[in-house]
Amino acid sequence: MGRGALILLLSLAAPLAAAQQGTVRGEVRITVQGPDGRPVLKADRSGVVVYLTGYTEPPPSGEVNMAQRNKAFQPSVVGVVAGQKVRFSNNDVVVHNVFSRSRAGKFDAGKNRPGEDYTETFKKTGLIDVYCDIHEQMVATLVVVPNRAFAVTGPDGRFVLEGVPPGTHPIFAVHRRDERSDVSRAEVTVKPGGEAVVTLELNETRADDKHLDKHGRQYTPRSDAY
Amino acid sequence: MNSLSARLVAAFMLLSVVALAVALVVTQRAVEEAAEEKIRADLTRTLDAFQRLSQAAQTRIKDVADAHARDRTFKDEALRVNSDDSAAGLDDGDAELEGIQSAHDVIISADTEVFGWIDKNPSIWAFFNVRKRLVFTHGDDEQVGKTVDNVPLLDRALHEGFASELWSPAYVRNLPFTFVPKTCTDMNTKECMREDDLLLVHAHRATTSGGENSLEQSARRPLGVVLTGRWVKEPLLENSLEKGSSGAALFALLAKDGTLTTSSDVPEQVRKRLVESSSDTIRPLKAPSDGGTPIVLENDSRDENETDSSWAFEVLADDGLYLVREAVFWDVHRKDGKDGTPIGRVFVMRNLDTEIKPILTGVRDWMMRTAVGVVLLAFVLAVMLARRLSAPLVQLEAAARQVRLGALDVEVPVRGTDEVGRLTGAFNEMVAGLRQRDQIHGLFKRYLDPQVVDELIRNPEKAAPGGERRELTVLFSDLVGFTSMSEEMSPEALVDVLNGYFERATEVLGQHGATLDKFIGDAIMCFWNAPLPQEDHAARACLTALRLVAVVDKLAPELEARGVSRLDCRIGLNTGPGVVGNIGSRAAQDYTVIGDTVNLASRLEGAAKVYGTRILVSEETVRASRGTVLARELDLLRVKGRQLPVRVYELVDVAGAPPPAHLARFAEGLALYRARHFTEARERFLSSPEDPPSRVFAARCEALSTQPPPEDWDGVFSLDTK
Repeated sequence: MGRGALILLLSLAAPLAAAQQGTVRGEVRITVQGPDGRPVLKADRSGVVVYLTGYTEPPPSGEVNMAQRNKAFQPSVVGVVAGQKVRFSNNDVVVHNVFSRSRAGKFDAGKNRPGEDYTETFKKTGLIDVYCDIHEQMVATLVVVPNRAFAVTGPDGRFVLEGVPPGTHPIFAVHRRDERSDVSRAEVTVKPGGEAVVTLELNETRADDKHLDKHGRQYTPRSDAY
Repeated sequence: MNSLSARLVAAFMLLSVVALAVALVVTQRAVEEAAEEKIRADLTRTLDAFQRLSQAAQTRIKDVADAHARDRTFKDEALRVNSDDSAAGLDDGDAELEGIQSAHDVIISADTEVFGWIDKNPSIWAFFNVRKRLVFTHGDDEQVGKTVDNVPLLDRALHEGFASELWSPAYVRNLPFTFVPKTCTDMNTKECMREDDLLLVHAHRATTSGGENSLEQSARRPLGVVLTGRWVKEPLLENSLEKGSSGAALFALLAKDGTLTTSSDVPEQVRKRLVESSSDTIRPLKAPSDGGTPIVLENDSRDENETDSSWAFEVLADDGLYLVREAVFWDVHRKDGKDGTPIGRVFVMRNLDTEIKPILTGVRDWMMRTAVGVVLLAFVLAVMLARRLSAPLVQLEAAARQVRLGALDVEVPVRGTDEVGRLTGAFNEMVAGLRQRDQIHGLFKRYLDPQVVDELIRNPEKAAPGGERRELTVLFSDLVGFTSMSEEMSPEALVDVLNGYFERATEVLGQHGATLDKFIGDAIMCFWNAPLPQEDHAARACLTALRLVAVVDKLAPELEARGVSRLDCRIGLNTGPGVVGNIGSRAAQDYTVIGDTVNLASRLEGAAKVYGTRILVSEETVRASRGTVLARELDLLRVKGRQLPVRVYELVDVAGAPPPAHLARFAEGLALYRARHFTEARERFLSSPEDPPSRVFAARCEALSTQPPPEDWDGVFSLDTK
């Protein structure tokens, strides 16, 4: 009832508030087990989604694109603001499927021939593991976050979150794809117009990368899976 | 039984009773101490056993929980109650609840041990997911999904993997969730609330599988915490009671919030004391100040006792003294060598009085029975001993009576060397002494003055035993004219006169300490310096002679008045060696003196007649008398039977008496006589016609002047008659 009015109020106040919003800048460090069993820092720190929780923002109007190419999702990790649409495009030469059994966004795109798209809207926040029912090796992760203050790291592990309202917020780093790690949680305090620096530590463990097909069964080798 | 025996028996009995009483008290005390010592030692052992048992029990509970947490069905459910979304902060409210709810439903429907069912009965059990949201409890289903904070045990288990605590019923009731059903149904009577018990709660972190080795520990992700509760009273306290060898031991467990549970009835005073004893060492249970820090026991004063040691104290209650041993109650000791965490206090106690009482009663009964036997035996022994002791005394008494009646030949047999034996010996000696005194009396009373006899009896060693050679002075006295007197008088009158004379003479002899040898008719023989030594024996003899003459002089006029002719006496004295002693056969003994000295004294007595004197003394006696008497040299005399001449003297008077005038003239005459001037000598002698010796010498000079002696005349006069 009052939600619309609130959003209206917020959107009206947005330009005013923008001047006072702050920035969170930082780095993600990923520790993996080296060949000798001792922890070492991982060189490639890409694919980590860093986000803040504690407040919601309306989703941007644009769609998030995730392509299927060479029997892989590209990019394999994306951040999505709750309510935003994600377009899955089959840019491959074979038929693909996209499905998820994750609680926050169960869907099944059916079979998409090359060149076909499938669009799904994710309303609930959560971690959504996306697979292809045909190709077991295809794995992607959607992180549906409550606001726009999120980033996906590049290989250097650095991130910048802009437009953060002042205050203290929980900050999370989630590393998904075929390697899994713990969720890293911290708190960050942002001052009006200020910049906060935070380093998040992730501990990557060898993943249990087995997953089930869209019916909850084990993948079976099939002839058309090429 | 006479009174001595009675007294002995009484004393003996008293002594034995006192000794037994002392023994009873001492034994009782010793038994008491030994029992107390043993109970104390037992307490320590019981406590150790309890600790081991409790460790074993806890380990078993832990292992069971561990095994259940590894169970696949459990894990399947546990995986569902944790949502990655929640972990990532992206739960919009029902992400986890769905999983929790469905897991709860599965657990409820599956009555397997894995989900806390034991023998179809629910155990006290609860399950939380990693964010401490309640997944399952046997309590209130409404609370499922509720986030439970302020339970430090949960935080510790999440942090450390395993933790234990002792919860009191009050604490359980105040938990933010229902862990133990408040009301008992028929189905779960065992596991409902118990008021006087403590709940031992193990919190166990469940994890995903994989990473069994330590390198991959991090691969295991926590799934939640399983809480397992056991009421301690039955499995720990009462089982210990059965397994512990000491039957009467009481156990108590004290939780950190000061709630006490005991194995059976413990008096209120003791309970209070137990709670107090720990209140100063244990801090009440409280939430950790910053999440996950384990609670540590505040125990500054007993740091050195932190490990398995225990300490003792005593509590005096209405029903006796309780010996208490106290120790820390640990949770399961961790495997990596670190100590466990103290979760409470354990007490083992025994009521000393009630335990010792039966022992003491037994000992006392036994002792009393023994004591009665010993007293009876002591009585018999005492009677026998008293008889033994008193028998010789009775014998002594009879002997003493005999002695009183004069039987000195009694001798009591001496038995043993004890006091009674010695007394008997002394009695025998006394009788022997009396016997000896009688003998001495009998021996000497005839010869000696009674005083001398007494002296001899007192100092028998002074009497010369047997024959002894020593210097003596011997006196012979004879009455002159006695023969004619016996003709003139009737024998009765003669005896009368003689007895009168001897009476006085004996008195004189006694006064001068003479030893009377014998009376020979009218003659007296006596001597000095034996049996008792007398330094002045010669002087005594001379004085005695003078006194005897005085006696005769005094007696003579009385007899003359009765018509008896003049009585006179002659005395011979000699000093020299002689053998003195009891001489004779055993039947007829005489204490007498023999030797040449005696013979000479007798000769001198006879020779006195020749010179017309009364007392004739040898030169030896004059010399030995050391000037106590006045003596006149008379002649050199060779008596019959002796070759050597003796210089003889007439005893005139005591020394200091005025000498008669004729003495000097006699001496001159004697000198002229010796110088062969017989004519001049004769004139000298004739000038003292009143002096008998002068007359004798005048006659001798007249004879010699007409018939001069040979040239070698030595002035010695030989006497051929006795």
